[in-house]
Amino acid sequence: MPNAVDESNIHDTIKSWVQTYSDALYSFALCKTSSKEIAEDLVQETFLATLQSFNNYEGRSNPKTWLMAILSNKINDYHRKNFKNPTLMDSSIYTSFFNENGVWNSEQFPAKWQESTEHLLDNPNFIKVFQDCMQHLPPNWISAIQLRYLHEKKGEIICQELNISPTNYWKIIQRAKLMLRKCIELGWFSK
Amino acid sequence: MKFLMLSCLKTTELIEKKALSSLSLKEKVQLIIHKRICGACAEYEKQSKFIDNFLKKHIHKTDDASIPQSQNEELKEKIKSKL
Repeated sequence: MPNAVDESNIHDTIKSWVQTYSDALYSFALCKTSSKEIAEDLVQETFLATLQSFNNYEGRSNPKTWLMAILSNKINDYHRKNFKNPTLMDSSIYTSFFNENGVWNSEQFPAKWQESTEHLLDNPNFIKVFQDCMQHLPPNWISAIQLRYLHEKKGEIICQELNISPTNYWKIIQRAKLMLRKCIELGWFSK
Repeated sequence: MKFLMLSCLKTTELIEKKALSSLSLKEKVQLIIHKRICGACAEYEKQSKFIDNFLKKHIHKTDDASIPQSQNEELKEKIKSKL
C-alpha cells in the first residue's frame, strides 16, 4: 500500500503526462476510431488505467510508449466489442450503387482516376481526405476495416474471432469499400 | 456461357472475397470473364487494391508524422479533474 506521499507523486506524474501526451494519444485514437467521442473516452480510460497499474510501469520504457501500448489495446478491444453484433444493415446502399440487374448506376460507375496513385500514400492532404471519408462510415464497418488490417489476418480467422459468417464479413467490407471509393473519388480525384 | 456471367454487384463482392479468402475455380473464371467485358469493374478492382494498400500502410503507423495531429485542451482538463 503506497503511502500518501507516493500517491500524490503518482498523481502529479500522471497529470504531467496528460499535459504532455494526451494530444498525441487523442490524435492516434481519433485516427483509429474515426469518432471524437470514442477517442476521448479511450484516452481518458488509458490515463485512468495508468493510475491503477502505475507500479507495473517502473520507468521501464518511455512513458509515451507505455501509454500508446495501453491505448492500442483499448482500441482493439473497442473494435472487437463494437463488431461483435454487426448490424448487417439494410441493403439500400446496393440500390444506390447498382440497378435492379446488379449493373452500376450510371452516376456511380467507377471512373478511371486521372492521377497516378503511387505518390498519394504519403501525401498529407490525401491522407486527410481519406480519413474524413472513413468518418462517414457506420462505426461497426470502421471496426471491420480496422480489424482486417490491424492483424493482417485471413478473413476466416477474423470471422471465427468475431463469430460472424465469412459471407457477411466480406459483404460488410464490400459495402464499406463502395462508399469509401466513391467518397475518395468525389473528395480528391474529381476536384 | 450464361452460368459464368456475373452482375457488377456480385463482381465487387467477389473482388473483396478474393482479397480476404480464396475463390472457387468457377468464381475465378467468372471474375476474369466479367472484368474482360466490364471496364468499370476492372477499374473498381484497381481502386479497391489501392484502398487496401493505403489502409495497410496507415493502420500500423503509430508515429506522429503520419497521423494528423489534433489538440484537445478540454479533454486534458477533463482527465486531470478525474485523476
